[in-house]
Amino acid sequence: MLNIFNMDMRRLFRSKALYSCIAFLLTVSGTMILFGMLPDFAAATGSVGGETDMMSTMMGVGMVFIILSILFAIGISTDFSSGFSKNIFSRHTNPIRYIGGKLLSLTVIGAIAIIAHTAVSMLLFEFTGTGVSLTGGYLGLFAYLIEKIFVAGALAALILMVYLFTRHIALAMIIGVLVATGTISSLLSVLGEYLEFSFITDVSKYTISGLSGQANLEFQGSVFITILIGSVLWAAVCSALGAKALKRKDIL
Amino acid sequence: MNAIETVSLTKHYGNKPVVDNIDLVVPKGSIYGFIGRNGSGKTTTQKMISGLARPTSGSIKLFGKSVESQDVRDQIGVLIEEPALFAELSAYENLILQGHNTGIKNPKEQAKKSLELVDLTKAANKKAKQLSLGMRQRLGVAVAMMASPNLLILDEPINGLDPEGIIEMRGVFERLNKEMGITIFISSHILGELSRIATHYGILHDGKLIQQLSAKELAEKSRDYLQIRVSDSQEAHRLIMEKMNPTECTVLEDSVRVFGVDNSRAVNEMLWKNGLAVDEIYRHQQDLEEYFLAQMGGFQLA
Repeated sequence: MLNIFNMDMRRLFRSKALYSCIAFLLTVSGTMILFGMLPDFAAATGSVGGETDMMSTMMGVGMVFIILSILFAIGISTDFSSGFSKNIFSRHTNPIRYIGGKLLSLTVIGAIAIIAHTAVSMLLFEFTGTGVSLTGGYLGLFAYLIEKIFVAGALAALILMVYLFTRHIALAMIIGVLVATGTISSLLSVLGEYLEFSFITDVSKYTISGLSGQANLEFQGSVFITILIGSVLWAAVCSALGAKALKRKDIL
Repeated sequence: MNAIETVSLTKHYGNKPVVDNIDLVVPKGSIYGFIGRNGSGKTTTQKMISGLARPTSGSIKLFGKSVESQDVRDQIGVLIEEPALFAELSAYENLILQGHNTGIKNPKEQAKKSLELVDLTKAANKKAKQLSLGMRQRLGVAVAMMASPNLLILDEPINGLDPEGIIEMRGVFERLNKEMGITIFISSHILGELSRIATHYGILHDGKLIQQLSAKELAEKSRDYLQIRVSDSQEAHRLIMEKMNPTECTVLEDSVRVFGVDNSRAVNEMLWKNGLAVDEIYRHQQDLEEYFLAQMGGFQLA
C-alpha cells in the first residue's frame, strides 16, 4: 500500500493537473471574497447553518470538493489511460494495496487543497478588512479541517469505486460533482419531505455531502465523531466494492 | 521446474473462446517464442499469465506457485501491448515510479542501470511522449526490468524498432537470458528475429496451442528441400515425380521445389539426360517463418 502511495504522490506532484486545479480553486475563491460574494469566513467555509441548498454548497468550501472531484477522477483514470495500471496490477495481487495507497494519496491532495483554500480565504478576509471570526477558536478550525479532510477521503473512495466499476472518467467526475454539490442529498431531502418520510431526510445527513454540511467552525464532539466515523464507513464500503470490481474486471 | 505452466487455460469473451484449453509449458531459463496470427489469443494469454486478465477456467502456475501468489508476482516484469508509461513524465521518472511501485530499495540506482541496459541514458530526461516508438519500446523493457525479475513477459517488444534497434534488443534479451538467467516469454511477428534467440516455441491458432517444441525439435522437423531453376518447370515436375520418388514436389514459376530427395547430383543428371537445362540447384533449410506458415496452412486444411 505504501509503495502505491509513494508512487502516486510522486506522480501527482509532477502533474500539471494538480497545480492547475489548485490555482483555479484559489483564483475563484479569491475572486468571490474580493468581490464580496462570500461575506465572511463562515460563509467561505460553508459553516452558516450547514450547507442546505445548492448555492451555498457550490460556493466557498463546496467549490473545493467540486475541484477535488475533477482532480480525483483525473488522478485515478490516468493510471488506466496511460497503461501504467498494467505495471501496477501485474505486480500486486491484493486490490486493497492499490485502493488503500490511492485513497491515502488522494486524501493528502485533498488536505492540501482544503488547507490552501482555508489559509488563502483567511488571508484575503484579513486583507479586505472583513476579518476572520473563529467562533470555535483554533481548536474549532483544526477540527473543521480534519472533518473536511476525512470527507475528502470518502469522496475520493466513492469516485474511485465508480471509476473501477465503469472505467469511465466522465461518469466518475459527474458522480463526484453531484455528490460534492450536495445535489444527491438535496434530492433525498426533497423526496423525504414530499413523501413525508423523515427517515429519508435523516439519512441524507449521512451522505458524503450531508456529512460535509455538518462540519462547522464551532467544535462539537458528537458532530466531529459522526463525521469521522461516517466518512470512514463510506470509504470502507466504497473500497470493498471497488476491490470487487478490480477482481472481476480485466485490466485492458 | 518450469517458469510457466498452464493447465486447460481458457478465456471467453461472451460466449466466444479467445483462448481455448491451452497447456503451456515454458521451461525455466528458456526464451520462449510465442507465435500466432493477429487475434489468435497471444496477448490475452500473456495478460492472464501476468495476472491482468482472469481466466474463465484452468490454472496458471509460475515457478510452481499459483499466479495469485504475491511471491511469484514479485518475480515478473511485463511489457504487454504498448509500453505502460506516463507520457508527461521523463523516461527516468517513469522508471523511478516503477521502482516505487515494485518497492525496490534503490530506485535511482536501478533506474540508471535499466536505462544503460536499453541504451537510453542520453534520453533519460526526455518526456515519454517525446520518444520515438522504438525508444518507448526500449523504455518499456527497462520498466519491466526495474525490479530484476526472474521472468519477463514481453508482447511484441521489437515492434517499431529500426534494424539497429532490433539488433540491440536481441543483444539485451540474450544477455538477460544467458548472463542473468532470466526466462523470457516473448511474442513477436518478426519470426526471423525470434528464431535467432528463442530456445522454445509455442504456436497458437484461433486460441488453441497447436504445437509446442524446442528449437532443436524445430530444426529436426524443418524439412530440407531442393530448389531447382529449370527451363521447363512443368516437365521437370513430371519427370521428378516419375523417376525420383519424392515425398512432395511443387511447381513454382520458373522452378520446382522437391522434398524427400537428398541427391541433387542425381536429379541434375536425370533432368539433363531428359533434355532440360538446369540453371540453378540448391538445398534449402526451412526456417521458422516457413515452418509457421506450413503449420498454419496445414491446420487450416485440416
